[in-house]
Amino acid sequence: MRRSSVVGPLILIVIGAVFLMRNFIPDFRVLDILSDYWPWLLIGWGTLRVVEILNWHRNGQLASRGGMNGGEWALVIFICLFGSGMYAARNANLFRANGINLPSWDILGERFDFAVSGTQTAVGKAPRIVIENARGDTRIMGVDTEEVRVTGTKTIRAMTRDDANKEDKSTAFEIVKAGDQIIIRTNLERASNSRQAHADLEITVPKGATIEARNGKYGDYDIENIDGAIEVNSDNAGVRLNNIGADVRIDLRRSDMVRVVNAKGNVDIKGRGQNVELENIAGVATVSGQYSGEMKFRNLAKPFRFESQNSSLRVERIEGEVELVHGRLTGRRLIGPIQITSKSKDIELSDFTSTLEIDVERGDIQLRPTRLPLSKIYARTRSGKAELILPTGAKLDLKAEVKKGQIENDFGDPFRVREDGRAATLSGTIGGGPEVKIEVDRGDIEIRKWTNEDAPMPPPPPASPVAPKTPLEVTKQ
Amino acid sequence: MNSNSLLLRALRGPLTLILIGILFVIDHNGAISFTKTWPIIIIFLGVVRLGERALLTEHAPPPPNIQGGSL
Amino acid sequence: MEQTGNIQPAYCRICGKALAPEEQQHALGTVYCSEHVPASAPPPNAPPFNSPWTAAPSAPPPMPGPNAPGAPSPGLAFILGLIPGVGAIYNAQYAKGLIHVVIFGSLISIANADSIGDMQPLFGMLCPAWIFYMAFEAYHTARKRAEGLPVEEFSSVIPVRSDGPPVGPAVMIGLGIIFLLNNLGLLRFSQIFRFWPVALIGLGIYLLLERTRSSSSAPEATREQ
Repeated sequence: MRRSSVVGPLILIVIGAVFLMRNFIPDFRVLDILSDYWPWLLIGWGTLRVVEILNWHRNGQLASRGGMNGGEWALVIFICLFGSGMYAARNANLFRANGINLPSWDILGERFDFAVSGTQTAVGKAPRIVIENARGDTRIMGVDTEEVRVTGTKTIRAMTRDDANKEDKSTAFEIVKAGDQIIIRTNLERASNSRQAHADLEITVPKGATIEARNGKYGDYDIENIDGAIEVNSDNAGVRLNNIGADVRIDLRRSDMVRVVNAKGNVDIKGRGQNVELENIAGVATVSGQYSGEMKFRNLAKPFRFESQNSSLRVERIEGEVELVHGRLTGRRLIGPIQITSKSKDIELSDFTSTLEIDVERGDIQLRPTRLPLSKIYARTRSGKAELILPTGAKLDLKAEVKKGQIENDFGDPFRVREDGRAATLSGTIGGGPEVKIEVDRGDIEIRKWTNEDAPMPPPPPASPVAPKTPLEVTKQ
Repeated sequence: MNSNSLLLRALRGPLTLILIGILFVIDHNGAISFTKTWPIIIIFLGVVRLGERALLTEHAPPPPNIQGGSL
Repeated sequence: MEQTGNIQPAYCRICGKALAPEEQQHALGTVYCSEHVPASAPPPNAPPFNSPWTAAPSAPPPMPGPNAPGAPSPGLAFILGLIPGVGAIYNAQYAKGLIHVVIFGSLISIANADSIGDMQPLFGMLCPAWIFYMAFEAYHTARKRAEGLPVEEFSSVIPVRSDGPPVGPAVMIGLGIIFLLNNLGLLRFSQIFRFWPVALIGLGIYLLLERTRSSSSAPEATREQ
């Protein structure tokens, strides 16, 4: 005799009841609890079924497929998808202020806006501004003034305007002076559904201020024309800085864009994000962490260092630009010493001076030094192709080795290729220049002369094609 | 008797369910993400099937089979 | 169980009950107990209709013969099966349908991801392959249902043997371990892929074993156990 399980329908009832409770007891943070503990629901369900099946077995009532049936598995899959979705949304803060990526939790309720404003006068020329727990976009502009002025809009989600007003009162905006700090607080974490509330602010401050954004939850920062130092620490923020007179420190757990343009001090960026752009930085710049988008670094006057799990880059000065996009590092007009290591990246460098050291596990390397004299170069890839394109007049002591592959010598004399089974080496010296060493484990090496098709640089001697035999010559035979 | 094999077969589903729940609990407590640990589920299913076969052929020749199997 | 003459003790295909020779009901090439033998009438105590939430196995009530009006049409199943999930739903295998959709979506996502780089064509090819797999599986499942065979929720085109080397479970365990090692960073795919010829050799050995095994007569093989 086949028995039906009780547990499947039970789970459905429990889930329904939980959601029902939420609609009637707004304070019962069901979804928070659910998004954290839903896997235990699965474990409980499985355990109950195991007990049930063991019971049936003991009573000899076990049906052949007494396990879970299709409908139950469908429910499991739904729970997994929704559960992990909720968990991810909650912990990774997919809830952005204006663009909520998931359907909003409140079936009822609407958004209410409140104006926000505050001023702190007589703060001097260089106050320290602290913005705490930002939830929403913040724009800060340095102007010629001696007061801090805030304006903005706060958006609260509630069932009625009265509820919204109550929320508004409990999350009163404050701007307080504490010692030498001006602290700006939106107090939105006091809202009963703080995830749905956000405040966008516009702040004008004295030009000489220093800015510190602490414990940001979500929301972008746009800061312009500040002479003091900037520090941003947030769980989820896009940061755009322009024209900053002192050091910049940014630490983000999640970000879509970090852009710092025209900074006179040092710049230090760490955390996780997508795109990073640095341009015109007068101080030392460091970028470390995991960035999944495009990175562009232009005109960095002092040493620059980039570190991620996969790669690291150290360069003395970037006169041109360095781009890191999708497993490819391109650099143009760099002043060395330059050091690049990577587990997997293609490297393309042109116009670089001073020593260069590249060590890549998987990736192609293309080097096009254009400025003379050359400096010491060491390039190694375990698996990939290495290309060295030399300008005319280059003086170097070249040694290229490949363990399993071929060497193509399009440069000609005085370089000679010597093949040895699957390996090959090329060596030669021109004018006794610095040592240039290229090592490839599995791949090919190509040495050639710079031609017009490569990037714009000093003109090469045009390669004269070999003239075909004239008819005159032929008939002479 | 291969009622043991039947028992194991019926238990397969719920045990897998418990395993999935455990993997997600580990994920949520920050240890190792589910996107990394999911192969354990496949290993578990394979082991369970081996167990079923072992129990099945323990005492008697296996029944003739047509088709059946798992996705 | 004792062996009587040259009839082996048999087990009901559905419920696994051990059957003495007189209890065995032979149908469709295999053995059933009297309760579960497929016939035009539904077996006793079966639920009147197939609702997902009763825990009775989700096999639909046995269908009338292949050409009778209410029968599931394998042709229609094939066409519906081209749409992810719908083929399985047509065969009342709801969870399988959902899984089909998830796999389909995942394949497309992976095929579009940047991180796989050079392997994009592989996943791109897997997408149409998966679409056809879904269609054929729906077709075969519908055909089995049309013949009145009960069908498991997760039935598949790939047959599974209970004799000989346990290919299915071994493959599952092997793949699972490979993926796990890769995910944990212990042993990356790239390091393993270098040994792809071993897979070729393994396949050859397996086929060899298979051929030599089947060349000896079948009863002998089963009695070896």
